Amino acid sequence: MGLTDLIVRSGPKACERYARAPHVKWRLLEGRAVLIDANEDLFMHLNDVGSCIWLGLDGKKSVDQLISDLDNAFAVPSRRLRKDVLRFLRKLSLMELIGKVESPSV
Amino acid sequence: MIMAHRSEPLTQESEPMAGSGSLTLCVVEDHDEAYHAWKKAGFENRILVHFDAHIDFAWIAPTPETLLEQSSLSEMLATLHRTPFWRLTEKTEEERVHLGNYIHQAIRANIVREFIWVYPEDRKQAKQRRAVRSILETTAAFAPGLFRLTRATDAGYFEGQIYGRRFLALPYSAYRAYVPQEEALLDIDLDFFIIQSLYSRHYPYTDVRTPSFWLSPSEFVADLLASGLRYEFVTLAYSVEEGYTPLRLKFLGIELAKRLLRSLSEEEELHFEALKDLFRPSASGEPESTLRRLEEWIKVHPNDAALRFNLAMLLLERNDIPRAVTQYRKAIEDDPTYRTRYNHPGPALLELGLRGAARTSYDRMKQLDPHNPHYRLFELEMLIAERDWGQARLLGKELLKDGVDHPVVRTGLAESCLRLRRYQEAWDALGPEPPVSAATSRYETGYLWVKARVAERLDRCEDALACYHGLIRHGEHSPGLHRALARIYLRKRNFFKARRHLAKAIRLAVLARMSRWWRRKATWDSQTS
Repeated sequence: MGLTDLIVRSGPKACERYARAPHVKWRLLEGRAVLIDANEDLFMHLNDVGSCIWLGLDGKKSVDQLISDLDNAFAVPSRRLRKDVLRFLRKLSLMELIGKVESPSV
Repeated sequence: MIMAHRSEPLTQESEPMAGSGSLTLCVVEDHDEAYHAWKKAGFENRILVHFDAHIDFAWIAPTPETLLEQSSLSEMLATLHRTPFWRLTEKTEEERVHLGNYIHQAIRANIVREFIWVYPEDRKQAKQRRAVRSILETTAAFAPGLFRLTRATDAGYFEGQIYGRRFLALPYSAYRAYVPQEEALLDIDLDFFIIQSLYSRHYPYTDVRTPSFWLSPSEFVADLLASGLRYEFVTLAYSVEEGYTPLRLKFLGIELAKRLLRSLSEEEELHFEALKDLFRPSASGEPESTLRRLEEWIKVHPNDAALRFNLAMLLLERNDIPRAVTQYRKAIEDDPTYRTRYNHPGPALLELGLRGAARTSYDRMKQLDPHNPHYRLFELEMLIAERDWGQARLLGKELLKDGVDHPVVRTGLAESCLRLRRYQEAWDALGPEPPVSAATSRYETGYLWVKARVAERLDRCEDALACYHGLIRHGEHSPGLHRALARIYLRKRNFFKARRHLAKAIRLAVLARMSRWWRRKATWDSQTS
């Protein structure tokens, strides 16, 4: 294990697929996703864009597909959208609210 | 050995009453079984009159599902803010019902519409009133939005609202003035007759070294009839298991059950009088005649476990071990429930932190029943408290070999092995997680702590993490827990979470220091003295 490995935890990549962690209870309420992580006593509600991303995390779509879907739905510059989505996914992954899907689902 | 929840009460009898109805009496051991009896009988929207030395109302935190069921985000946030007990768990509210909180669930399940708590009468009324006020304020302070106190009087009357439903707390002498017009659910705990002073340093137990009672079942039933209270369903809890009712006084419950259903025969009256005489101050002055009277009664009722057990205890006090052993053996032969962990004051004394007195009590009982697994369990607990890890390991293994499969044995053995750096042996000793029940819930946290520490030593990061998460779901929020989680996430190279938990650990450590001088206070709706 090198120093880079120790400090930098790799972020999500365009081809990867992510799914919501099974221990996270959630519901769409007034168009927003409300999440409860019982493991960590964590309660959070996402904004519109965050909720759209959360809904897309079904383990079937790749990160790239997710970004292109959002590109059509929101009038935001593509580069900024990509950057924001990747940052958001990285945070969800660090919080263990989502997990990487190893093999593509059928 | 574990008192798991019984689906059926100990006994349930129905007797026709004067008038058109009939009385159903449901006798239970643990008081939470009353909730299951009400539910099974299909009661809804009733007034509950609860005679008990304990309020039996504690909060049950909402499940994630309950929160997510709210119709709007604002309602969800409001629910979150008015329920500061932030313990999300996979277990349903029903599964978390125990003898300390079953009334909460009865109110939530709409069985109870109005809750009247009748507490024991004490000579020092002002002190008793302060103790009750403190109990209520502490409970209300945890969820001010859900439990509002509105009125208090110098006579010890307290009024409030729980989940918007009326709540009253009254001393025994005052309840006749507040008898509801409609039929009520009558709920009695035997410890109501025994634990008199709620301000005592022994509370929530009675002064276990000198068992006595302040109210007799005959007086209680006479007062009940005079009060005009209407009831058709009575739940009566013995509460021996957990140590609230001393086993020697369990006969009061048997007498009460009989008196609630019918009047006693002359023979029965004399029989119960003989037992009650044992606890009157005059009995201690004439031990010889007390013993003789008891022996005479045993000749008439040779299979009465209460008589034999009380005789055994009196003989034990006089150090007449051989005769005490004979009587004890016959008592547990007639009624095996007398061979319980709570057949002496030891467990209650231990809970009160009086370890020396508890040891004396256990040592005395071991003379009667040296192979009782409960007493050997205590020995194990003592060895662990004294940090004699070598001896504790040997005794733990011996107990497991003898088939005493109790969470205390598994946890104690694993803890000893962990201290002796026998990590794999500790892991093997823990075995599968003990089954969940209200009676074992307090062992679960201990089990999870030891398992997490052993898993860490064996580099089983995921197992350790699962245990620590389990502890969070049990409501554990100590700096040590978050420090441990930070350590695990550091190992997993998740610095984001490691930093979060470290920050939480520091915050909790600082808060714990500050909270030593701060006690949460309930708010009152009106100007109350």
